[in-house]
Amino acid sequence: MCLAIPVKVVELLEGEQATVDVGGVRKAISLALVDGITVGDYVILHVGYAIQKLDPEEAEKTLALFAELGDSMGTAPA
Amino acid sequence: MLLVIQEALRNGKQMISEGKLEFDIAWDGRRIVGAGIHSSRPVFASRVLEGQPVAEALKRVPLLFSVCGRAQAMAAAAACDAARGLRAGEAVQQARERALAGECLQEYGWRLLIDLPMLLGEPSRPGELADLRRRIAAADDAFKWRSVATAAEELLERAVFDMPPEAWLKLRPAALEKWLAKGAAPAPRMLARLRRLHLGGEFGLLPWLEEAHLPGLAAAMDADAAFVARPTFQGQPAETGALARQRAHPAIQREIAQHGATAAARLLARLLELAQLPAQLRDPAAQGIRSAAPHPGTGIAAVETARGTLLHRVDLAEGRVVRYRILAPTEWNFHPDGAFVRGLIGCPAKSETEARGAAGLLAHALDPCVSIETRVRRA
Repeated sequence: MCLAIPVKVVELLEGEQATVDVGGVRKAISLALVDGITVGDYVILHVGYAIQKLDPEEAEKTLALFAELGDSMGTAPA
Repeated sequence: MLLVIQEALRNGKQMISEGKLEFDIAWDGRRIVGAGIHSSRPVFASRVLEGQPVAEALKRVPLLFSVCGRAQAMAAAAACDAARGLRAGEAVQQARERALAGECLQEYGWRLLIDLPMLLGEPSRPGELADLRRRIAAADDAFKWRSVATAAEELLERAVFDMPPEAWLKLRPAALEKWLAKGAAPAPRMLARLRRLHLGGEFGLLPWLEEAHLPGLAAAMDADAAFVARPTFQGQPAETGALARQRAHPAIQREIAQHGATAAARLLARLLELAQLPAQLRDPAAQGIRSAAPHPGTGIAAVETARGTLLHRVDLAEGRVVRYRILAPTEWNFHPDGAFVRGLIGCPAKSETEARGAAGLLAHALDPCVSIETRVRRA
């Protein structure tokens, strides 16, 4: 059960690497498993690799879902 | 959990993390004498499905989960079908089985082409996996799945087995030993290394869950919210995954009889499943998905993934999800008294680095779906 949290690509680096913004923290990741990534794209990150490119609409829906999840996690489960 | 959110709120943007497993290893200078696990995995993420109409909940599942998105979607569909008293037609069932096998192939590919070389101190080979992942992502009919199967066979022959996977499956015991002793690919070399380490052991494997097992598990998942964080079967922690599924295979029986249920047995079981996946993609047998409805409106589904059995349990009322619980394989294998902790205790380690390495190798054999962090302290 690995959550598919979208992260934004902020810079492309050499050697199929990129810098992403993870909740305000910048992190270098590998783009070796995905094609056609540009700055500003949202990707799903898994153990250091971008595994999927999201279109802007998908990214927005997913981010809204995680915002909702964040709100619901403040209380213990019923 | 609250701390995670508070921290996320302080950060302003990112709301929640995928979590990780933190291992605290106690090492006395000669062997590992204690192991603790702290999990920050958000096991209650399924709560965002509650209150939603069924169709919306089913749309949300693949958005929530990344690496195992297809298995999660299949489990959700099967659990909701069961709760509504529906049964998917044969074509839909075949499509679901193919999707599961495809995702399994992708995950096993990651273990063998990215993780194994890294554990052996060699460059990982993500480029090889990228092509296969592209084909799997685009596969939406039988024809495309057959082309995935062909591409997978070529890749597995070249990068894993040094021979066609179906030929590897037919190797007699002596020939398998020869492959293991002389194979140049990372898999046989890692198998040989893991056999020498005596890492692991047998601490109770989760049985193949039949439909008759499911109502009991549905009740346990309902009665105690914490069950999905620390699951047990018949009161005991149990290991899920390739070894649990392949325990009756003659090659696994031989491996355990001669070398014990080490991390090598787990890797061998994974290879046995991997070699069979192209055939499953071509002509899917009904094997990965079971479901039951303990009461009208309640559904539970068990789905086989690369990491083990994934369970979804749902309560529906008037077309909406009232309660949704997910029990993932990582919680079985990384239970505080489960296969990882018990398999590590007693493992010989001459240095702190060796102790850390042993934890990494056993974790790889049990395949958590999040990143791990290992701390070693002198006991």
